[in-house]
Amino acid sequence: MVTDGTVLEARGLAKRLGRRQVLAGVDLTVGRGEVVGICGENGSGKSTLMRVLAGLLPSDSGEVQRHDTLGYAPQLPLLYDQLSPWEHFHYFAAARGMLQQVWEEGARQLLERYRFTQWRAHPVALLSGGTQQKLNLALALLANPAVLLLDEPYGGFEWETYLRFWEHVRELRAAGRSLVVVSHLFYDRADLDRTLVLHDGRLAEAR
Amino acid sequence: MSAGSLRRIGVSARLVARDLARNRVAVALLVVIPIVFYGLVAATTGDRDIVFELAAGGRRLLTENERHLSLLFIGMVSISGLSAFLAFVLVLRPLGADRRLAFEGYRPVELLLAKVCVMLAVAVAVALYVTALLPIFFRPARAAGVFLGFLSTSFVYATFGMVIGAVVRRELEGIMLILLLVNIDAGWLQSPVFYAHARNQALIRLLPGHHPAQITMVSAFTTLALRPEIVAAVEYAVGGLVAAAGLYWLRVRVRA
Repeated sequence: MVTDGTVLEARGLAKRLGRRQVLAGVDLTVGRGEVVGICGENGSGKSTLMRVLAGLLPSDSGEVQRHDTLGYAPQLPLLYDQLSPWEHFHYFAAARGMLQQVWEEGARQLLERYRFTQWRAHPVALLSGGTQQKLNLALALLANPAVLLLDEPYGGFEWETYLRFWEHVRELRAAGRSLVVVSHLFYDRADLDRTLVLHDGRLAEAR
Repeated sequence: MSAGSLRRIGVSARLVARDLARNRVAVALLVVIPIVFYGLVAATTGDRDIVFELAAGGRRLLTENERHLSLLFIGMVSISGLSAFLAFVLVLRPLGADRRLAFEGYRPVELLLAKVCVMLAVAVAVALYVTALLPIFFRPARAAGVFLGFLSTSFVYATFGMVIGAVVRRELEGIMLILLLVNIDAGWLQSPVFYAHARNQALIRLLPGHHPAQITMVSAFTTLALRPEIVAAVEYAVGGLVAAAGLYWLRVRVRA
């Protein structure tokens, strides 16, 4: 683990959705080069926490400090139905202000690593759920952000791609990138520096 | 506005246009609906003369062919429905992905400006197409004015489609709202025949379809000035656009 500084810090996050207190004082600190797993039952608030950390959902109280660039892959792919993966890369690269040569090279590598090069020109609506999930993840990785928030990033991946994902996580960690990964699978724990469980709106170290 | 911002708007506008153009249902509706509507009116409306009054005509009574009047009216109805629907699709369907782009670095105003560019192009295309079909059935007095009326119908209803797209959560709710608005306003209350005998005409004049309808009818059947109606229609379109922009920003913004 490479930790020389905090890249993401959350203090006392609370969030109520309707009548339900989903987050009730969440504290989280993520160091540089750290891979943190967040587990929890269905509906425990993992995705809500990720959206609050990303700034896509305001918390009712508490604060989030983001000390570096952030990437986010939502649980459900949020994509444009009629655009191809390549067009998505173009769109997301424009958002980050990336140079054409840089994003095209990055996109090629991601297409190859996650094994969906053959689908690069097909509209998303025609892709399988697994391939959409690959694109969803790849878009978060494209700009090589310092911190990645990945909400169940490999749902629908076939085994080979799943293994490649964790291989990629190890490479990113070695390069000093930090990751927060929401997962149900305790199998993944071998690749996590810390595993936290979200229960009753609070995070605790997993036993 | 910086060069980077303009570049991002350009990329977004190109991709938004492609996303919309590949939506086969939307494109098919655009091509088929005006033909079907015109065809139905031409096949079912008689040739008698009818007397009606235009709000913009200084309470002057006009006597015109019923089929011509109905064709103009149904042209407006088809444009209002199509433009509102296409603009609605442009906003609601990609809202989640737009939020993600805002998270990645796009400013909501850049995404919105790109959509407005595409929306304006769509509005012009719809108005041109429906105007171009009209001479198959009859030639109005001032065709350019009729096009202007159709164009303003298209703009005004497109902005309302954007407002609805930025407000509702699900597609069905939005489509229901568009159908209701188009049916009640463009498809009923703005009919000059209905208007002539309507109570509370001031209420009808407040509705979004009113000024575009006046531009269309005044152009087709009179030589009266169009300017006051054009100004009012532009005000409506700009108002709708401002409302859509505000609502869209609320849905897409990312907290720092």
